[in-house]
Amino acid sequence: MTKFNCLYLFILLPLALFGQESNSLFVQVDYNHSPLILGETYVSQKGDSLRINKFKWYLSDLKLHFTDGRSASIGKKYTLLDADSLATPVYKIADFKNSSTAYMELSIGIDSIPNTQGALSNELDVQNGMYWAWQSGYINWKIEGTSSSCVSTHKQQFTFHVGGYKAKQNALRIVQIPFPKNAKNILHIDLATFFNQISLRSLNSVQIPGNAAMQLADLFTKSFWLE
Amino acid sequence: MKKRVYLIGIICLLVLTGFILYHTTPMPLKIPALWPKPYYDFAQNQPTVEGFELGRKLFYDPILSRDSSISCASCHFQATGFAHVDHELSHGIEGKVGNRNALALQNLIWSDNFMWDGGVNHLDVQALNPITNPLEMDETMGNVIRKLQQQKSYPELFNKAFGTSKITGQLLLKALSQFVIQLNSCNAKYDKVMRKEAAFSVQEENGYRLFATHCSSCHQEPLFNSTSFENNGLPLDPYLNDLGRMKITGNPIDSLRFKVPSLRNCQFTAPYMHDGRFRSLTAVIKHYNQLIVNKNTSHQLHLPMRLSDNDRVDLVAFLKTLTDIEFLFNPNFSDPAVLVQEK
Repeated sequence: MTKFNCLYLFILLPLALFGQESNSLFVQVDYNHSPLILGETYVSQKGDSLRINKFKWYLSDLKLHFTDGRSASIGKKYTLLDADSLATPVYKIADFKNSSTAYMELSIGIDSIPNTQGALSNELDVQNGMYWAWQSGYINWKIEGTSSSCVSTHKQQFTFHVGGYKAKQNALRIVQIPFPKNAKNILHIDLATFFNQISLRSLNSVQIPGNAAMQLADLFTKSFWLE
Repeated sequence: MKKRVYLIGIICLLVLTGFILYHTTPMPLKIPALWPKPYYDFAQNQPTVEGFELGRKLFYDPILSRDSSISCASCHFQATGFAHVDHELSHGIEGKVGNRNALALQNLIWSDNFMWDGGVNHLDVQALNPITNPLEMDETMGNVIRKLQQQKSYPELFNKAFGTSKITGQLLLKALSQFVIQLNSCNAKYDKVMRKEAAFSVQEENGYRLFATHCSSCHQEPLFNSTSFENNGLPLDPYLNDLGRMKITGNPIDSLRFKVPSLRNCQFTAPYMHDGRFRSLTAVIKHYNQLIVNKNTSHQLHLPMRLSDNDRVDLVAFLKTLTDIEFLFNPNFSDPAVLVQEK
């Protein structure tokens, strides 16, 4: 016991005070700056009344770029997140050593390599429901729900399954987000930003790779910001 | 100190037993001489006897479907080249009917794409289609895995094949691949003639000559298929409204283009075409013989075939030399449960 105390006092404590402080990156899903509640009714700026029932997405290749020009990859290469199973609204996804960070870079989705490698494991296992059967490839993110504006779909559902890895269908998006001063290291994904950009009456079902998916992928990038 | 020695001993013993329990027997594939190099990456799923037997059991087990009523073999019957005999379109649970004719399963390790529209890019993920298609097995991967995990036999068989009794989507798909990568047909009369172990009859010889002139630009030897997608002049079935390859690429040029299937064992893989519209080889040849080409028809078909009745008969005679009886009746590929019952 005494041994441990000494160790703590003379080695760990100075390290903690003067060395690089360890830090964590969190993720939080919002709707209009408040934590998203699945099944809650929201109204978009376009006047669509909507409920989100499912939101799953891949984050990959998280990278921090420091003010001195260095950069460092953090966290797992691929992380699958599900709004339904996040234990807490603010969910830890990676640890990193604090340094003067200029911006963060991340990919929304899965890069082309795993898309052609057949059956993979863990985050990339097809049983996660993020892989298309009829046309091989990962779904980068999916949002499902209902809206009274969806007059032409079954049970007024809207379904966005966005993916595509081939050259003219690539829906992977890499975003760079500046770190604010006194950052709390919380990566926010505000789905209001997404739904404020689209009209659910005319756009309510995208489930194949192609132009529509790539446009949605572009819009989706604007939902990400760092606190 | 003594305790630690014991602990290390126990750990070593555990590792050793794990090693003994997980020991697979390699099952190397015989690749015929002069055939192209297989496309399938065996390094990612090394063929083993244990994997093959597990995949074989799964292939014949209706547990893969939502109501445990149909198996892979329901639409892929060995004696007909693992195609769906007498059914124009594949069938599903509860009497549902799919959109396309079930393809024969043979020589799949030489394919870089699967399904009539080539939408699947890897053999390992092909089985996701029939398992999850609402008109076929209508099941989810999560459910299949739960069902398999609860069975007495499967966790042990997965352990034997892959060294873990925890079943995952990845291992289920790799297990099915372990079976289908062995389904290789390369010992038809045609192959024996090529190896100079047999000779064509006069009819077959003439048929081969006609084949080389009229068919082989798409149905290329020795696999009798090609990796391209072609429009062979079939008019659109307005009920199915199947645009084929265009659904995958989104490119109008691919409208009504479909996979060029292998002709091996075609004597038994009837009905023919993506929608099974032709019931006999004679009907297929008549289609090509009378084909009226339009601007969308593949260029290989722009020269009319115009075979005489005798030539048509000879061409069919040649096509029958692609029948590989050894493959169609290989007991190693049949339903393992039936074998157990017979014993």
